[in-house]
Amino acid sequence: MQKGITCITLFIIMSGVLFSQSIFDQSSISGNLQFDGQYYYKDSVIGAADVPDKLLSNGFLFLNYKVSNFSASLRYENYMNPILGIDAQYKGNGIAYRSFGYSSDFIDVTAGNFYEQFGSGILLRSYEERQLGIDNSFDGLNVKIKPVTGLEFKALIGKQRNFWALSEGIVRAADMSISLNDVLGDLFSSDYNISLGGSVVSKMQPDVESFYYLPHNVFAYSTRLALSAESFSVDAEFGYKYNDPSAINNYSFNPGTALVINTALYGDGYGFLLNLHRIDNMNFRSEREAAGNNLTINYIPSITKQHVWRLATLYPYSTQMNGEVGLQADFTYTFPKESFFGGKYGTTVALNYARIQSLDTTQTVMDQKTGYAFRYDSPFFKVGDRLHYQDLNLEVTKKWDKDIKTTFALINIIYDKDLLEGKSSYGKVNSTIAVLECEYKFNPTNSLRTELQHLWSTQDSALHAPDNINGNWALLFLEYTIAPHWYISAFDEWNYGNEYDEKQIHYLNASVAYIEKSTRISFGYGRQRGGLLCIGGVCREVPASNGFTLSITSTF
Amino acid sequence: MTKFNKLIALLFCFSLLLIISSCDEITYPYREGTHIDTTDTVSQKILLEDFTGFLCNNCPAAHELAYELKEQLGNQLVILAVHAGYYAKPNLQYTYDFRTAAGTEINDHFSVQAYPNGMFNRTAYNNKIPLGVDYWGAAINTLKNKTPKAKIELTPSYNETSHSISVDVKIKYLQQSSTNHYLVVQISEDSIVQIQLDKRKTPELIQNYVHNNVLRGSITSTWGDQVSSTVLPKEATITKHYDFAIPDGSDWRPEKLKIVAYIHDKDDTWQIVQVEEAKIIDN
Repeated sequence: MQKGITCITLFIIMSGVLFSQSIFDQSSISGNLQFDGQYYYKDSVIGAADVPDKLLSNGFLFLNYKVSNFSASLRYENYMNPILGIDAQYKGNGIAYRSFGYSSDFIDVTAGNFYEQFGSGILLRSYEERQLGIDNSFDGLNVKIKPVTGLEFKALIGKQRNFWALSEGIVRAADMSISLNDVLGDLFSSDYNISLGGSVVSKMQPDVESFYYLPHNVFAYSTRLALSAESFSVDAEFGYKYNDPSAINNYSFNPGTALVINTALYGDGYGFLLNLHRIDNMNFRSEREAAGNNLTINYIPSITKQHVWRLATLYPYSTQMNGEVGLQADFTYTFPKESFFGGKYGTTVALNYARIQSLDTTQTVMDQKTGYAFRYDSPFFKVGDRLHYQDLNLEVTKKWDKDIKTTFALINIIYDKDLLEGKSSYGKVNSTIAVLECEYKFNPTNSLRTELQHLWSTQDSALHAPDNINGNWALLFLEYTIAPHWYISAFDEWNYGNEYDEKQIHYLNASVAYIEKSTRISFGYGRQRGGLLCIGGVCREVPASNGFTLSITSTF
Repeated sequence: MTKFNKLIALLFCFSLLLIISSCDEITYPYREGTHIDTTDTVSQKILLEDFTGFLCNNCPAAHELAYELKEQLGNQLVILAVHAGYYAKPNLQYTYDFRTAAGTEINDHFSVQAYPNGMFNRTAYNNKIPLGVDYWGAAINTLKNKTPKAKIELTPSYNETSHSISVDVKIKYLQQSSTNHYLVVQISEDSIVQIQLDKRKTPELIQNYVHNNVLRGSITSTWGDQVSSTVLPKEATITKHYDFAIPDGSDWRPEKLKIVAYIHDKDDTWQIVQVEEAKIIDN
């Protein structure tokens, strides 16, 4: 009897060990680390205020554990205290993200925190963008089902992250996407790929304030179509949101609409893109009081080119979710090798134009107390008079021989400073930027990249007070690379044409970066100008600063 | 598609219908009426500490919102405009200093870093104590129907010859007191004409802006005097007397001054238990 029990016990233990071994053989752990620290000095000339803490830092550690179909992940965040420009409400540390999931071909379930996007994001997109201090992850339940190939359903319910708390509002949402080629199979021509989709999102937040009759539930829906073939593609999505008065739309009871159309045409050596969008009252947040970049449910990217040249980022565009009509055309052509313009290695020319205007609105029902409109009319096919932004730019990239490559860019931007920076008496800024970039390889491991940039600018109104960003700028950038480990760079950004002599400042910066496998360590010192930092049409204001920076990133 | 898959798809579509039904469309009127409480029964009064600054161009909109709330709540709302922080700091061009030691201490204690920001009875709404203007209406609604723990009665007087203020503060407990209750007595002033930036105006600088409810100083220390070192029972009454001389050379105008007295839960929740205000010269 005793032998029997011992045998059974041993069997259970052994099978447990064997089972767990086979399970854990399939397990893996991965993650990444990021640390950004800055030591600040007071610099009144550039407007960098004294930072009593001296040293500020943001740190992130993400870990993901996978075993068989199960996964668990968490992210530790440390803001002690948040670096300048990142919302002070992040102050503190803790586990900001944790999730548990099961994933198979048929079903995918996540409980806890998750990011999600429906279609292009015009109704729902939660994402993390550390540089902007954005993290609007959901905390709830997310289910995805694929009953057959080419058909996917998604449904979620949750609250969004609000710094170290959760939003008051609850988001309930569902999405369906169908790839007709997969579902209909042979019935469909394989020359075209067509997919359709539709989403619904509902936000619940009780009306507890005392001035307005506010909707407890706000509903929104969208439909989308994507068609692509060998030489062209068309993506279109339309979204509608029922009345959603909020702080950010000045308590307008108008419904919201958004239409986004992206088309592309490609052929031998050329590509042509035409993008259009019309956004009307589509600021959708999980709390009607949310401001800044906080608690956004949806996302519509900027319809302008995302410039990489530093002086061209001085006047960036952010999507105006309360209303805008925009158009962007982009043409790229590569002259063939051995042709007159192409030379030995080919030449690429890119021409891009974007223009964004206001909506044509007529106020119909006014709020006498605030002077804002409760309701307004905005004919769908009419464009308003106010120019928000215009960008016309040309970029020519040419490789002269195997060691020398140059890029020349000419950019003209008209920027509505009052609208985009929340000012009232600046008017528009008209700037032209010229850039010449040269890259020279001394040998396979040593190379030098230089950028010479110049910005000419004029603005509508005379300045009333000294301002750190106006007039002409010049920039010289040098980067020496010793592959594969060292990147040494320095630049001087000089506002030599500032209307105020004392503000004609040199912003000098230098940094050294060392890369070892998947780890990058960089150390720098410099003066940073204040201004807007934009990524994908979402911006945050970054104050001017002076000091040392240390940045470490690593994936494992 | 298998039967099981069809069932899942059907369930999913059904759940979509449920979501679709979650929509409330509002039609005219959009604004609720005003409800001024004119009854004289003891109510939980609310102290709004509006952190502001004359160089803060978003602040005048917050002042207007505070007046609008006052219009709705009448005497139930007491406003104190606390000039503190970066936007309240005078510079070479604009030298008038609205700041007070007490205001700065309160500002720093509650880590107010953005302006305008307001505290309502120093009580958290959505886990935050200093609140952006968009939360003010909601925050006030969570407080206005609370049962008061105490009642404060103020009897101020002004002596023209000595340029001094006297005030009797009578506290009647409606519930048992706490030894953490501290009484703070402060002075505010209305109708101070000074400069102010206002983002909505062109140019932004307004030379003759009328500043109301401006915190001028504290008669007690910033965190006040203990109401009682022992726990007082319900219905207990306690009266405290204060004398205060208006600082020499100050531009304070007695006819525009008000006494603001409040009990707060010091070193514990820091919340305001009850607040009252009264004009020094009742004209």
